[in-house]
Amino acid sequence: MMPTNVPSHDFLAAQVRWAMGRGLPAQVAEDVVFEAWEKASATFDPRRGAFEAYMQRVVRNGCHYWWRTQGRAQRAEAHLKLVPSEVDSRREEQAAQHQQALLDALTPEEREVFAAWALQKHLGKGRVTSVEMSGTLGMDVPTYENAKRRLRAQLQRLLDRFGWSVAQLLRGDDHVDRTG
Amino acid sequence: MSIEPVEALLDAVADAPVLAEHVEAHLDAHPVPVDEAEVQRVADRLSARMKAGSVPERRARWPWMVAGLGLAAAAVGGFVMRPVARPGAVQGVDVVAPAVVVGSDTVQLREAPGALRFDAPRRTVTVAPDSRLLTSERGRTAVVLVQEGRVTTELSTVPEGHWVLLTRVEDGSARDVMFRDGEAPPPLEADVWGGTAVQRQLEEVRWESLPDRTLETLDALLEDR
Repeated sequence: MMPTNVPSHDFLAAQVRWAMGRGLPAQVAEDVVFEAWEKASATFDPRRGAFEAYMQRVVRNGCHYWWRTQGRAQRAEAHLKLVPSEVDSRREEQAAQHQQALLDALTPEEREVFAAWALQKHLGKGRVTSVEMSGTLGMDVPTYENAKRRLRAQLQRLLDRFGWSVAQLLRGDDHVDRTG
Repeated sequence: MSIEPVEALLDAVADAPVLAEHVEAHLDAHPVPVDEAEVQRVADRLSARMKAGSVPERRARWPWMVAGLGLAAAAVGGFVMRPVARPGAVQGVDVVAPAVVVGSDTVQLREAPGALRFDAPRRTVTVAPDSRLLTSERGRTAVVLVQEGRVTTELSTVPEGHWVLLTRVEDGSARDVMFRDGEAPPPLEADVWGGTAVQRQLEEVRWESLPDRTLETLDALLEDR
């Protein structure tokens, strides 16, 4: 049986816009919104609010961290496995501390450039251009590219200073404390 | 320290929860720019799908298995070829998916830049970097849907969101027909384009351009009937 709640065109456009703003390609955004509509229709309880508000939550859940899944898929295709399937909680905690320390050591601008650069890589080559990404930061492309170069050097310095390999930063294992 | 640790770090951000949270928060504040025209097109399609409450006919499953074997062979061969595509798919009703696909393993997704040779029509196209194509070659005709980027043939430049049909006629001269995705193809001379054969190729490419999730959803709905 087909669902009967059909949202307005404006609402659908808003959901698609939001999904694409999370980096989803148009076709994937369409799938996510369509699936959200089906799921929301099947589980909606009118006593708990408006259908569109409910469906919006389903859309947002569907888009959450989509870029992370995308990044994993790309690495799988490239046969890169940087993270083992099993990690224990102590190592996870240590890795989280390392990651937070790395972020804390960056300036606010470096943190923004780091996020934008990582997103660009995870969303896939050609999906988001340097022009678009620099624009979101209020920079022109040369400024953004220079900021990336400076950030690369700064990250290298920090990794050297902390004495962490990338694996240690991600997994927290084989930690060598050279920070003192 | 491993080679290019900063690149490795950036590549692995998705697997680093604290860094991933930071990137997700960045996305909240700085969404990726979107093409408003594309947003409206997707919303139009969604609206129509939801109002119609209907689904297309079931796609044959076996070609996907064949395509999967093709993928494995392609991986061994060292070039990119996948039987699935997402962007640029289903832009209109110009070329509709058929009820049953026979031999859709001939449809391939190509992402590697460089020269792409179609043997039967003896045509070569140049694929721009970061391009994404769906291709089908059968008889003396090749069909290309440019989903991203562009390709150049000896006669034309085919931008993103366009189809191009390629053949070579008996006197040895090349023929192209280009048209925008979402629009009907122009009339095609039967003696040049093989009558209904090229229409079949167009349908196959269109069908293979349907995303996985749509296929799964439609299959599930059909199962419930």
